Amino acid sequence: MSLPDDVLDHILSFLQSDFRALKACSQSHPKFIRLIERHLYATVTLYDNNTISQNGLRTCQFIGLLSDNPHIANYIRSLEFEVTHDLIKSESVQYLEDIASVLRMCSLLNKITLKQIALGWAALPEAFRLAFLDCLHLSSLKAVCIIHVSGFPLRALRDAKNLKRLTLRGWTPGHDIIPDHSTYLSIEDLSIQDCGPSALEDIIIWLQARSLRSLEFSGPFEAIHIIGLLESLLSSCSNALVNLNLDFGTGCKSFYTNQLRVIYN
Amino acid sequence: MGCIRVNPARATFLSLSPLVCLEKLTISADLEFHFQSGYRGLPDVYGFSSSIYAISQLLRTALSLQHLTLDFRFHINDRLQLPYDPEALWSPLVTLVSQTSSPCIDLRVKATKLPGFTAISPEIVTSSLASCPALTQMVRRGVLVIIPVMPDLPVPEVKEASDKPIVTPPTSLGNINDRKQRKWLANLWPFGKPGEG
Repeated sequence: MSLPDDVLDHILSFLQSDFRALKACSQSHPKFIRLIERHLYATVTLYDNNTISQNGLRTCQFIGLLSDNPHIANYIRSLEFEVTHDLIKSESVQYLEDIASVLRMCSLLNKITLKQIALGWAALPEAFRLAFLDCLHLSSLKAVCIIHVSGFPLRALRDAKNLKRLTLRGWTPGHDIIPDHSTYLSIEDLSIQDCGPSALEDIIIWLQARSLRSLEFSGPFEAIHIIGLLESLLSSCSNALVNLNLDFGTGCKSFYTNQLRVIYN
Repeated sequence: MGCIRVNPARATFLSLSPLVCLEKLTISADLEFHFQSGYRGLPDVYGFSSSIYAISQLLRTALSLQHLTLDFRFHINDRLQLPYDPEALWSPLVTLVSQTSSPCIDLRVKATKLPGFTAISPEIVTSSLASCPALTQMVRRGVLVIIPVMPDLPVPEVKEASDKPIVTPPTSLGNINDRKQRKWLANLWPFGKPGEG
């Protein structure tokens, strides 16, 4: 074991997504334990129930671990919250309130993901919502993913001053939080997927992203007004955009046949 | 057997010409094969529903492209074999590839399930693509790279970190801060101490 720690650390960094490999390494040499710990907790997924996450811990176990070992919070770079459909249950609410305390401990987050809120942003406990919004102020935060969370207030992203990557998937605006005016974000990487026409309209009107280098977009390409909005988004970043990913889905089709008899279209 | 485009073009009105720095473009789409058996002596009817024509129109506006990836997901409504003779079937794709400004095109052939359709195995599609001489020529010239994308294998279920729970879960969330009621290992390592296996 003559390799320097920084070399070992670099090698181990490639195993961050491989829980089993990290586990095997941890058992091979005592020296690895200290090094592996920060890779093991670099990416954490927490649920509002007792689901086991990729690092083999249940949410309540992780919350317990963190409460006795607060230094682990400094290893967390990417934090993901997945909320099930059991939000009404008081147990889920309790979990989310406990997760809020985890959020407040993570001061070095690079990425935060919130997904699958069946009842929407407004249905989350206030303590969780406030803790999540506070995280957007972190200077270390570079990426935010909002996945199927209706009513998430886009205007809160104005507080994410160093935000570089934004993913909005299945987002719909809330009635009382439709963005009222355009906001300039210095994001470089934007992904908009599975958002309905009205949501797309809100996003594109609201968002000014002149420094965008990468854009992923899936939407109704046959809706002329959406195409117009998308063109205005593209023209705002026309001098910066290098990478474009468009998903036509099942839209914009022509129909070819071997007979002049259309079977269906 | 000819290949006839029945409906008028449903073109996207999007133009990529203002994107002066655009280098890499990826276009994903669902492409559908339709089949209906012939009856009363009429021949079988095959159809191919695709956005290739609209994509071709879009690509004409992309001027500075360095790399194009076509990420196509293929589906069929009935038989697991492709209709037409390959030359006619893939003629819109040949036109697309020959007209684009990108010096290199990756065609990723995927099999995913669309409601009401069956996903076609990528091998069936690539085999049909390989039977089209114009496409084969483009592959030989290095203009086109055809990549079959196999479906992901099912992810094994994650089990708890150890048979013996290293971190004792609190008996209820109400007493989470009651340290006296919790038992921790000395190093708090969720896999146990080295050598404990």
